Amino acid sequence: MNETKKEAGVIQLTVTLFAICAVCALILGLTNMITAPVILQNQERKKTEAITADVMPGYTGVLSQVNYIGSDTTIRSILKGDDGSFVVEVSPKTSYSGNLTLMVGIDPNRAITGISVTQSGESSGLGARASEPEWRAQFVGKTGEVKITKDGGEIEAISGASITSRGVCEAVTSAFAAIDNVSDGPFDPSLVPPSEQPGVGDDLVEMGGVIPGFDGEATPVEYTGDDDTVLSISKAGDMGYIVEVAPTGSFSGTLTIQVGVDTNGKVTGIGIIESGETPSLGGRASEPEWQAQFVGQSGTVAVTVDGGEIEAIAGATLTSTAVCAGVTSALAAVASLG
Amino acid sequence: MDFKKQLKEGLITQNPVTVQLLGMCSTMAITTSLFNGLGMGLSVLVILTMSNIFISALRKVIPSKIRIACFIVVIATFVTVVDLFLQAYLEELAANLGVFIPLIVVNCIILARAESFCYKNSVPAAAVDGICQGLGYTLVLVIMCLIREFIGKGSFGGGILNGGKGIQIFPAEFAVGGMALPVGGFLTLACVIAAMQYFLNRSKKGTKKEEVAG
Repeated sequence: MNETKKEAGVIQLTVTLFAICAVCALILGLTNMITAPVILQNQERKKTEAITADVMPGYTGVLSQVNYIGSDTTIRSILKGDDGSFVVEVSPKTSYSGNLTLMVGIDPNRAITGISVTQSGESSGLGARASEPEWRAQFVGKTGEVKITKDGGEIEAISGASITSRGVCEAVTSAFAAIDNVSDGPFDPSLVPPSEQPGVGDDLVEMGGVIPGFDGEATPVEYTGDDDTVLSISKAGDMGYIVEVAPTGSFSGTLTIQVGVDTNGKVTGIGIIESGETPSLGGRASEPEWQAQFVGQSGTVAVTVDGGEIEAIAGATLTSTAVCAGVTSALAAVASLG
Repeated sequence: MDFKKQLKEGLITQNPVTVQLLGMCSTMAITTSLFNGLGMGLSVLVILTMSNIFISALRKVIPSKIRIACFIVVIATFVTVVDLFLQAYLEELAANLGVFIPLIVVNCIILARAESFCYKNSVPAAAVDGICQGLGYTLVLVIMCLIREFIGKGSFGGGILNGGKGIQIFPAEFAVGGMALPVGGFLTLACVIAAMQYFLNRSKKGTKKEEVAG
């Protein structure tokens, strides 16, 4: 017996192993058939819970995306629950930063179950307080048109941030209107108009600012230089380049600027994208009057105390110097592209 | 086939963890709460029993040259089956045990039993062996969980009793946090093995004396 086992040829070994693997594969296939739908359901439920934790506490059903067929371009997406509730993602037109997105949960009886701020560029301590649970709680149970008290509604605005508060109310009101304009049937991404897709519209507005007159779509360009403060470069048609740069040496350490450079290597305009500078001092770098000084500059840009032409912001030499360094980096980066 | 003898062997005299010193990695890693310990122990019990039966049934078909490959294929199959069922019906346990469920494939307890027992014994004996060895493994895990949870967190029955929070026996601030960390696993396992060996040796002496007397 042992002899025959030892002499088992390659073919016998292969066939045996193959047969065992085939049986195992069958067992696995059967198991997968039983468990796959349950596992998928579990995953869906987890995803739903993540979405609904803030906007629809306690909801455990399934949420599926539905088609929005209305014309309100602030509506980004609508999810429908199997009990007739909705979660609407909306970016209101009114907001201080131009970059505010909310989720609004609405129950089958058309009352708000909760709202949450998913994206916000509002000032911290003011508009950013819209994400505080106490403030958001005011919206629970509201229905129809929602307004702040100043406009004759019931929502207490965040003190010092009426614009943000109005934006949130506008978003909630839009969300209510939007759920009447959904089509049944499976979700079809092609029905989403391009302008509603996150980000695209916002970028165009911002980019137009640094190259006046440019309203096309900028195409990213690969930057191969070794200046690591340069975050990205985009080609703005044949009008020049838009460079995003985060100069070092700012007061707060958080400063990102956008520089428009024309085809002659001259600055067409600058904009502050992100800034942690002191509002009344370095924060003034975002004032259009101060930024206008940079238009037409080329080569190395410096503040007057360093022998350049840029008037520093009074009391904010560090910020001014950092902005100059950023513009200089941007010009050098564009020059390196040839 | 002697069920009583096999059960005694699995639980005490041939306990897979404290006597054979197999499957130490998972023993130290997951014994932080009673829920995890029981879950892991029972998962191994089920996998061990199923693969024992399967391998024992095929022991005359499997050529000895490729037996290890065949064992691993069979073990991996049952591990995946259990893993999928846990993910589907005991999601929380699957999340807690994480990678240690797939790692049962290389848990030496199962391979060792396949090689040393199932390849030579009948199907019923192999099934009983799987259950007994699995119970032995579960027993050690549960003991370790109780010790580590009590000293490390001051609680009892974490994950099962009191809505999953466990019963707090003394405030968690007074607990020795290190016992819930890997270092506590090493210390506890060492102590459990030492204690088990001590009692084993003592009872051995006892039986010898009895034998002499008998």
